[in-house]
Amino acid sequence: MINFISKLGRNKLALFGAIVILLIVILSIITPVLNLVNPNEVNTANRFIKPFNETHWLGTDHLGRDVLSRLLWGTQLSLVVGFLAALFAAVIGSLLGIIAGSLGGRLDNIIMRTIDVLMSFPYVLLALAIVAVLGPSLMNALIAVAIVNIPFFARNVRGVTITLTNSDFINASRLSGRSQTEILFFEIFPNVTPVIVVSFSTTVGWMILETAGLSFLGLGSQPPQSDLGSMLGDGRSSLIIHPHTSLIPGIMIFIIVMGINLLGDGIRDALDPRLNQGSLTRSKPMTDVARVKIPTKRSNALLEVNSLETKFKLNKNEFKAIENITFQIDKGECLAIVGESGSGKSVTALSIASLISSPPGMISNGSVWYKDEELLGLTYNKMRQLRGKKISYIFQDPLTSLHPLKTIGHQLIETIRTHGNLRTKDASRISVGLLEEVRISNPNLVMGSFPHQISGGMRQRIIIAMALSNNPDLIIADEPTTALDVTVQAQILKILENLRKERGLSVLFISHDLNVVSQISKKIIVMYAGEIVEYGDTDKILNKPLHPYTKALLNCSPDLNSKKLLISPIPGNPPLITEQIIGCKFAKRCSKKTSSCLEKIILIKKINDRQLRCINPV
Amino acid sequence: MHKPSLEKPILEAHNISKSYEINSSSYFSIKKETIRVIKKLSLSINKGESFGIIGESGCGKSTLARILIGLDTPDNGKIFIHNQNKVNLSSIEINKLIQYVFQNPIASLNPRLTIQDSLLTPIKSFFNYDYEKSIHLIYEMLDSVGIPKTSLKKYPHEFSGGQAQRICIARALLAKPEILILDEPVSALDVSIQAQILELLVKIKKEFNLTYIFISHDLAVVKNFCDRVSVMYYGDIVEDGDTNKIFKNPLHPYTKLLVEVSPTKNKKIQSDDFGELPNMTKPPNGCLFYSRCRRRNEICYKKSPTQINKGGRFVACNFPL
Repeated sequence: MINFISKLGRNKLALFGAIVILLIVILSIITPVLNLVNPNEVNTANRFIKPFNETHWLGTDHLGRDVLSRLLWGTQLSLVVGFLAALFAAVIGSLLGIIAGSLGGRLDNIIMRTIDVLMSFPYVLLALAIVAVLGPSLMNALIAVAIVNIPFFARNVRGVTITLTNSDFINASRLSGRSQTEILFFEIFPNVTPVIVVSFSTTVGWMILETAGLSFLGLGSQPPQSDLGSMLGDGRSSLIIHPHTSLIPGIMIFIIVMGINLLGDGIRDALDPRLNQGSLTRSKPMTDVARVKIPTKRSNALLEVNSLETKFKLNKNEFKAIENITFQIDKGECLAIVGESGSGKSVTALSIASLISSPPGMISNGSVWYKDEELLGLTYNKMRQLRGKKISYIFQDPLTSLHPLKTIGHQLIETIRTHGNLRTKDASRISVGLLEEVRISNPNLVMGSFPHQISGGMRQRIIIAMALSNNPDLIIADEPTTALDVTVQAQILKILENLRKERGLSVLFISHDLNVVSQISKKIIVMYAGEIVEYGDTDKILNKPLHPYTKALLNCSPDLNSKKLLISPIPGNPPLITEQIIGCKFAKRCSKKTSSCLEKIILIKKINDRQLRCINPV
Repeated sequence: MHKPSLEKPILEAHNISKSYEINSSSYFSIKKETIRVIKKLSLSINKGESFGIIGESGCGKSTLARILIGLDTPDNGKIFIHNQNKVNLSSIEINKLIQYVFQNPIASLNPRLTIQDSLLTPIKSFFNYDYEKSIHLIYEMLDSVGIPKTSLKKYPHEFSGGQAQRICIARALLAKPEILILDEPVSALDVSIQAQILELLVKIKKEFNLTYIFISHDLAVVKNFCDRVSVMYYGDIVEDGDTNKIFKNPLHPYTKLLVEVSPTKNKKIQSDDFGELPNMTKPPNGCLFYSRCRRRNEICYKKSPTQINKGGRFVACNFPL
């Protein structure tokens, strides 16, 4: 709740709206105790007194009634009516929505089709028709406006309810013995409240406007009682000669509706989880780079990463996601990075081609050399040419990497033509060749298919084909087989290996699975909490790990061939990115820990055949 | 598939089948197609065993679990719990005997309820104890699964995946079930956390005298965890038997394929053309594995295999290995 208010407070416009609405609400609450003239006291002798008069601050109207008093009473009435109408619509609409959404079937159909009928009439026409049937009065206007807005709530709430009804936690509570009614009230309802609140706050302004509209047409509040709408209606006839009688209520309506809408939008933004994660803030096409010096190239490797460090800014604090990452990949070599989630393996992969989103990320140290070019200092255009052409990425989820509305062929051809000046026909021929290379048996059929029509394994092969389309030197594959079945995984691994051998392609393979990594890579990097802890030949490291973390990781990865029946877990959890640890970051969970492990920073050192960051190796 | 045993099975399924209708639509037409997810499947589970079900995604293992727990109803076939027909039991009675642990622990806890509220639910519905007794039970259970008592007032998003899975296990155990269905309980977790949860499951199995049905696509995990395993392919069980024997000498070509492609240390990738699951809407006539099998011949194309008993193991193949 505090979180919600502070988020709301950060939105300047919403804060402004909230203050305006608060002032108006306070004003209408204290209206009865203010020493005001009776708003309905007629005094035709004092008609149309101009505003800023001593006795009538805002003048008088065509019957000599005090405008200020009428304005305040009218505001109060309008607010109450609008709020009640919104409340009425919210309660009925949400109830219908929850019932339709959670029970489904025929009841859902009946409710939703009735609501569709309601929605097929224009708002105002429907409200007019309802008032015409019920007879003009403020109460009937309220009912009409509420009915007109029920569909809005019902549809919103039903949509959310349907998603919730099929969710795991609803199933879980059903298995915990909750009845359907209990699920409705204790499990689903708390989760739809934000939707109701948001819909409410965005419609209440609109409802005030609608009731005012009906009153303006003489169908709402009846004389002598008057709300802002009927004041506007009364003043209309003298708009040109005595504009104040209609302008003043008009401005009031404008201020109220604007205030409520600003506040409503603020509430919506503060409650929307997508906006919380900052997914709608636009990130730059390249990661920000802020480093003091650029480490020079030291080897002849195809890709050389030197003391790379990437930071993330969270609430004004900076946290290092990775630091001191140094490695090389030769032509035709496969290097794997293994680590658990949060170890920084993906951040490393994305930092290479400046794909970390900024904000909040930035590269704060180090260099990335591709052949003789330093990648982190490149301009956007140069980097764009390099990405996809020389360095390609393959990600875990092939479905999200493909455009759902374009055929596979279309997307392949597009990718090829972006980087090369080719005719569509030639690009198409190359595409078929690529699909054959990734062992798709009927490439022409697949070229005409949409992503959802083919299986996950096929999709991942198409992603690989796309990555290959411009003859890259390096493929960075971030957990490319994690979402796939073992049989498909084996196919993908084999394809990558063949490409490496036949095309001389270099592969940076990121995975959490030591067994997978041992099959594909010659060299391996083990990462823990943003640092490299062990780096060397795969076979040597996996058969004789020196870092206690590598050993522990191996001990808890189940192996199909091992005789040992039970695996031994690593106690505790990996440190959070926010934790400040001097010395070894694994010490807390390590069985070989000594007091010196946490005293000072432990550097990575070359020991025999590998690099190791540990002072008490296994 | 039946295993001759002197023990009375705690859970039995006879010839259950389930199909779904899907709309396959193109721009101009909508066709209704039927997908058979489970076809005439039988199994029986003995008290106290850890029974594994493995198979690729889409083979129907999760649907089977949902049917056993009662989140789905089979089109045909019967399920017996303690020799009682499941249709005669209320959902409360069933869930007092069988509980379920989901794959994604955070998603299976209501984000707007505190852990305490989520944990009180099963006690209230199944036993209706007063608040003090319930809290006392929850404290004991949290102790068993290794979650501090101070966590009760927290919300699910404040926990890591491993902790949330411990809480989910606690919730399932509070119903005092005899059978726990574990549907990929560690696939969403990191390796080091995965091992912690598996260790916890081994511990509580003894402590609460449980029977496990463990569903997974990871052969290595199943091998470490289960006494007996059934291999599912395309909605049916193709092989069933002792875990170690099955993985050491698979009888069904499909089991052999799974064992071969499962990555292990110091093993290089072998052949790479295994095909994928055939189109579910148009199942072939004979053996369902025909299109992917290396031992197939004309007989397999026409004749769907029957289950045979081979040294206490069951295999559904015309030409077992």
